[in-house]
Amino acid sequence: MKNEFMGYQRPNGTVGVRNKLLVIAPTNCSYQEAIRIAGYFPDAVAITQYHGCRRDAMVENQLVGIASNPNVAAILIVGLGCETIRAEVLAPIMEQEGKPVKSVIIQEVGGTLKAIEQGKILLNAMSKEVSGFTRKSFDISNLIMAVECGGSDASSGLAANPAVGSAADKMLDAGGTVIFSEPLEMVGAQDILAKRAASEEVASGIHHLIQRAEKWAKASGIPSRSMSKGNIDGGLSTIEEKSLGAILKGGTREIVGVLENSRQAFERPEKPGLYLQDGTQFDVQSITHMVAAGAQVVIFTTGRGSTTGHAIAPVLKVTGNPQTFAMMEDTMDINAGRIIESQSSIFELGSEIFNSVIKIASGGKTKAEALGYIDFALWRTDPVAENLLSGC
Amino acid sequence: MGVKSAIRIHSKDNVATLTDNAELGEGISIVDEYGRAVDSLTIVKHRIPRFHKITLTTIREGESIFKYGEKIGAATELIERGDWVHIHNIDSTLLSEEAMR
Repeated sequence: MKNEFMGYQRPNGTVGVRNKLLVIAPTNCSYQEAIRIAGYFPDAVAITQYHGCRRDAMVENQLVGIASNPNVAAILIVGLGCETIRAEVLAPIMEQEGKPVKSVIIQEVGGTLKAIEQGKILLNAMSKEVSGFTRKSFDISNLIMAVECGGSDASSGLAANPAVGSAADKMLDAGGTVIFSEPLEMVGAQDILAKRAASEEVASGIHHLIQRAEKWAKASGIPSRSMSKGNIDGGLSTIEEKSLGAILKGGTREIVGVLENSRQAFERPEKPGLYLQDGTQFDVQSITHMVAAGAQVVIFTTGRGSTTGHAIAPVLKVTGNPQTFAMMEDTMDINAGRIIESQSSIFELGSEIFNSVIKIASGGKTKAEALGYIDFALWRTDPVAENLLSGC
Repeated sequence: MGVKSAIRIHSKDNVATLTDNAELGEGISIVDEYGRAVDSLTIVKHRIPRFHKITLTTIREGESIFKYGEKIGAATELIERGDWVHIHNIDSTLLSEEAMR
């Protein structure tokens, strides 16, 4: 049973670790209705985005990606009616996955209360259809694991990230897929990452991704190569050291691809392996972005602590700081601080984290899930800034 | 509590990172990613804060400093085995911000 997990088979062959009913408000104009509809069903979750109601491929691609995630069993789209990110456009694309998809349009149905009633009736029918699904045994090659870090401190590069990297290597060696992101934090390590690329094309993609992240940072007035006082007091001496400590959470194996999310395409992993995804450092947005690319489980490493849990994917939280674990044990899953206290090793924690991922994938709840935390946020680049910067 | 330790994350590294503050003259056990003790040394010249680095060999000026199995910078002066490695004696070898395209 070592290289297997229990999951839900989806019509297109992918395997989910959860069986969620997804209620999508494509713009926040219908979010109130979406929340109330979803609130009626224990396995339902309502999501929205706040980038406006004008069409934007970068937003729509992620909404479709989230709906396509194998953790989602069925979808209800709740639209107001006049937005240009329209349910009628999204529904057929989502239907291609073979999952049940229904829509309710508030302006057509005749008001908010009628839309909520209609939505509940539609969701109830789909709920009955999917609640009969049961888990079956599947090979790890069906798992995509996202790795994210946030609230880093001095323990992150010494305990949590090496341990998670060790787990990522195990996942990859077992035939699974790992996605990592936050390209701005890789600035000091781009040559090292490029050396691990599976091909010239991937190496070039890695450089391009990280250089673009630096360009954006520079345009926003964010320093990309400086070390903060916190970094230096915490023992980090160079930007290379800082970046290497960050990328270590993705493990040490070959990088088989780079995943872009431009307005032209939203790329997802096509075969097992380690992928670097373009993205942002903002935790919830970054996790949502990797989940939209197909990640079913997430490992989140934090030094100072985070309470996050995601709307459709379980987030296993690991801290390398023993004080943080003690103070935030209600939301922290794994104490990698035991490495700092000489009670365990990087390798042992790596095994423990890998085994936890398999258990979580097979239905075990993370602490954030037990608390019902359902964070969700979409990231996008500003289209005006894209146009202005693309001339450089 | 026993002997304090410092972790050598990768076998290629010539530095280890302390898991506790270290005083002058204190003996430190160097452990690897498997938790095995691979070396022991004595702290020389400086007391060193928790999470900071100590060198496992004597490093000459200009030589590379390795952590995570990769070069993280170059020594700006001779650093004796058991001494502190930080911003006062290591320089980044990355291009400077001005050289960025």
